[in-house]
Amino acid sequence: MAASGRLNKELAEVGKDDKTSGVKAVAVTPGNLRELKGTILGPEGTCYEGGVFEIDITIPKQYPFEPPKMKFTTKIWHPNISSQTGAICLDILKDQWSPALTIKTALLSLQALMCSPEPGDPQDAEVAKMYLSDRKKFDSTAKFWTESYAQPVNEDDAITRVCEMGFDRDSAKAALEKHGWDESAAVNQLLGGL
Amino acid sequence: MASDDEYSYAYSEEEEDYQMSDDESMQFNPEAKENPNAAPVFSYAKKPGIQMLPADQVFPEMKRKLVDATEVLGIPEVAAVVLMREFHWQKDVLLETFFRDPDGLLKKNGVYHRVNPKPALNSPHCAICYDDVEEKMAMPCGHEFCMDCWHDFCANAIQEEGPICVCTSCPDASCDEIVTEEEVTKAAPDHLPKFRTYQLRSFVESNKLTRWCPGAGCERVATAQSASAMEQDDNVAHCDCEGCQTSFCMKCGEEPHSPTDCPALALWNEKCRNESETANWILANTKSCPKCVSRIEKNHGCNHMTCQKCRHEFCWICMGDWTDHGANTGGYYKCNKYDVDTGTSSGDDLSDAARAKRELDRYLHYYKRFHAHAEAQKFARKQLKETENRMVLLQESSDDVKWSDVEFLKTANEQLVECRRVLKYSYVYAYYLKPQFEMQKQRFEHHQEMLERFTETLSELSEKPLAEMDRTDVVNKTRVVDQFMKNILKYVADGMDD
Ligand SMILES: [Zn+2]
Ligand SMILES: [Zn+2]
Ligand SMILES: [Zn+2]
Ligand SMILES: [Zn+2]
Ligand SMILES: [Zn+2]
Ligand SMILES: [Zn+2]
Ligand SMILES: [Zn+2]
Repeated sequence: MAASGRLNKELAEVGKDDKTSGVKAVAVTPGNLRELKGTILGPEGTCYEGGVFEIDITIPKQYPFEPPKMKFTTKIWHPNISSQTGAICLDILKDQWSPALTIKTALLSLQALMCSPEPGDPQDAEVAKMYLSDRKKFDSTAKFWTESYAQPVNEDDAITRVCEMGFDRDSAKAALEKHGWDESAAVNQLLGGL
Repeated sequence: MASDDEYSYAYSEEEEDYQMSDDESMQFNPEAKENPNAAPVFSYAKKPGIQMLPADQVFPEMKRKLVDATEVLGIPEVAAVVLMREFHWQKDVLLETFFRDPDGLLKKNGVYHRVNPKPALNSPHCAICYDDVEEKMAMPCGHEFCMDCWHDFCANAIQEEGPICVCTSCPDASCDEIVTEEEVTKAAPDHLPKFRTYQLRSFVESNKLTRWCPGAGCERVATAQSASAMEQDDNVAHCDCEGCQTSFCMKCGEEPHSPTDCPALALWNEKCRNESETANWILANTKSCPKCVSRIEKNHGCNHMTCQKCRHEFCWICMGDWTDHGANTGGYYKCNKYDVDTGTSSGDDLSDAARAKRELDRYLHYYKRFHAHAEAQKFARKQLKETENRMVLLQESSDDVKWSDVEFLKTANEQLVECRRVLKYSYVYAYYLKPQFEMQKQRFEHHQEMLERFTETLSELSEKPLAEMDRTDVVNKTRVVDQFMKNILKYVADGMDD
């Protein structure tokens, strides 16, 4: 199976209109097409608007006959996504997958899921319960999570902030990239921690 | 033990219904004619409608049903497989639904285009690998992909998804058309044998008239000619696999469980799973002599226990005094009946806790007996395996003993295994007997009691050292116990009418 040929074409295809589609997927390390990073912009008019959500994508050996494995790395308050682990409950990522679907269609389906949750088939029971019983509280919690965890990182600002703690620009940038722009993790590494 | 004499031939003075009945569904061992001393063996009448077939002989059976359906429906065979599977291979039910709304049924089951093919969609590239390929293969729904992708798609489904691969639909995401043997043959002939195996497996599993033999590693299939062939009057569709010697009920796959029926057995098994912790605790804590409290190891089949330490004789099941059980007290064999009032306040004002305790007590009463007979059955099975050696020893013990003269030992042992099995399930049956059938319940318990008493006696006799073995006694008791077993099964089969 020429999976890599297809994957290269798929990534090129996503890149063509990522400004308008609101979804993006790139290789984490150039040349390795098995580990990808997806990004979904929170859809307008939802509690996720203004947020940038990152998704871990792993391409299985049998791709495209088996679905790509996806999970949110950005914390999100949504009935079909685990608030703890980011695991996703979506049929096309499981038994409804078809080799004629793509990473882009899967990301677009996730975006659609953010617009219209399906609390009847929940991944996170606690979130689903709140969604059904107290919609106001659900909306405000989801918004709060979006504002707290899903804010686009201004990379220059982040590097500057890390540098202010006494590190040089290059190592600050490298550490931030390695830790997905998580400042405290980057600083921790630079301090010789984990 | 001491009471042997009281038991001897007591049955001949019993009421009339303990006389031999010549019920035609029970057969006697033909050897009995040649050897008047051999005890009759209970054997199940072979129902002509049920057969055990090796798996490869089931394939033609599936094919025959398919050809049959294909002709009537006027659709390709690969579409008929899908529909028949959906209808559990009941052609009549399928036909009825089919002719009411053929298109709806075909669409719902993903074979509409198999019957009404569409031309290929002819896109320049393959929608799986994105390459521009000349040679492509289309399904009847028009979706086409390159041969390489088709091969990998089929191979992945068959290897990774296993038996469920027979339900795989078109690689196109929005299309429900089923991928059939036709595509596998063309695109992945290397995986066709496996695919056919899964198809056969799904035939056996979705078909109400077939069942895999539950014997470990056994590849035989019980096949019934019709649904009525599985309806036997002792609530079980009894099958004996000649390949692996496993006996099972064709309707539920469990060990033959007469007089209990399949739904009650399923309920019982579920109940035992839920209660197993409590029941195990009780069983583990009742294993000491009721008189001197020394620990008792039960290492033989019969439930008449004698404490090695204080010689107290008691019943393993209820831990009660054995003298309360014997005929010498003139009373009934007091072990099989559950007394509702024992230890609980009667009346409707029971608290929930008291009610729950009473229900648990009731369950444990039956479970203990079920379990004791299950253990005794295991023991009798083990003993049966060793019987051949004992027979050789017995024959060698005297010069003028023929092999046919020692066969009674095997017969007695086989009889014991059967009796333990029936006794075991008779407690499941009794547990689910509705309380309003008080009279029937008493009759049933009477039959159960007789079978239990004589089974214990035979069990005790058959465990005796060879030197003390009294052949005539064993032969007689084997025959009697067989009759009691038939009586209880017949009582249930006849709907418990007196
Ligand atoms: Zn292809
Ligand atoms: Zn199709
Ligand atoms: Zn078998
Ligand atoms: Zn059954
Ligand atoms: Zn004792
Ligand atoms: Zn004994
Ligand atoms: Zn007892």
